[in-house]
Amino acid sequence: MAVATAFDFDAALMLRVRDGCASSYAALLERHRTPVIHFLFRMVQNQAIAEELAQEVFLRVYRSREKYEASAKFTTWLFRIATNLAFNWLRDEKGRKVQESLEDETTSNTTKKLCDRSPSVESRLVYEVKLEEIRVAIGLLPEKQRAAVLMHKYEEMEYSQIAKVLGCSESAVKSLLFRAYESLRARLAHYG
Amino acid sequence: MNNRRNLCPLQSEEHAALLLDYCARRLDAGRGAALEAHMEQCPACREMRDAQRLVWDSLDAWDAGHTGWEFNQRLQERLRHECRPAWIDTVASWKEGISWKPAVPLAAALALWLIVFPPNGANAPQPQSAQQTEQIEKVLEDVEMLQQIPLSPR
Repeated sequence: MAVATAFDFDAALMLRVRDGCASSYAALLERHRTPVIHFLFRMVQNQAIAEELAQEVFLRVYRSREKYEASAKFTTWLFRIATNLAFNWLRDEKGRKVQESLEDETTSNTTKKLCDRSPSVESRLVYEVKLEEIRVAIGLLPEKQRAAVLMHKYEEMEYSQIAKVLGCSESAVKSLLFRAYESLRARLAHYG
Repeated sequence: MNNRRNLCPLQSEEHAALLLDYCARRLDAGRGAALEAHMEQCPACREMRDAQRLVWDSLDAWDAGHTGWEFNQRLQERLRHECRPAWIDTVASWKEGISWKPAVPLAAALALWLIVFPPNGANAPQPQSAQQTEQIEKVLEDVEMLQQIPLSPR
């Protein structure tokens, strides 16, 4: 525990939150809000849902402050909460055509970003199509594979940390990632 | 790594992680160089590397957008709600649990009682009407006028 606290600044902040320090909670929120929302957005592919789930993540962090022990890396704990919430949401939404309901919001966001990035209509459309294919390719991955890829790619987590978040072994994570990237390579191979 | 040099990463998922790390630029220089040497000999690995780089670049293009300031505000409100003393919720739930229906006939009965038997106002000071006030003022004026009359014997 002491070792984890010494090397994990976030865990130290969380221990201060446990002792009633509001500014430490604000600091944790500022440090991790964006990665958590981005992770959840890519998991559920809906900005509003992602923000709602992220609210729940940080509420749970706050509620658990008194029981918190710095036995693991703070981000492992944080992403475990986020991943579980995302899995629950995805399971609850199973059967619904989530992709369709997400079209409007995501497309409008994308269009806004594309306007900033590429001046020509053609390159904008190419980018839009590509982005849509990436979203679909990620969306088609099984939940665990998706979470593993997102943590590996965007959060740059080590295999051991992903394993702790997902509650499996390191070799299982490597296997998950291998299969996930294999699917992505097959689906995104034509972007040469 | 020397032992692994002859192992094609595609032959096991465990070893394929090396290639993933290489494409993610997370492999240390020594192991990276060894893998590059292997890839020169192994077309399957080269193909996988190229495809994986494409995936990596594609994923880089996926911007998750930005979060508005409302997020913190909403969270603050929810935290404020969380921090409310427990007794507020207890009282609120107690109030919700009370049924006011039995009190309605009781209140009606009390109102009827007050109409039929108004409270005895003998001890309570009665408000003076304007007419009574005028009468008192007139009496006082009369007394004052009488006092001005000299009471000399005839």
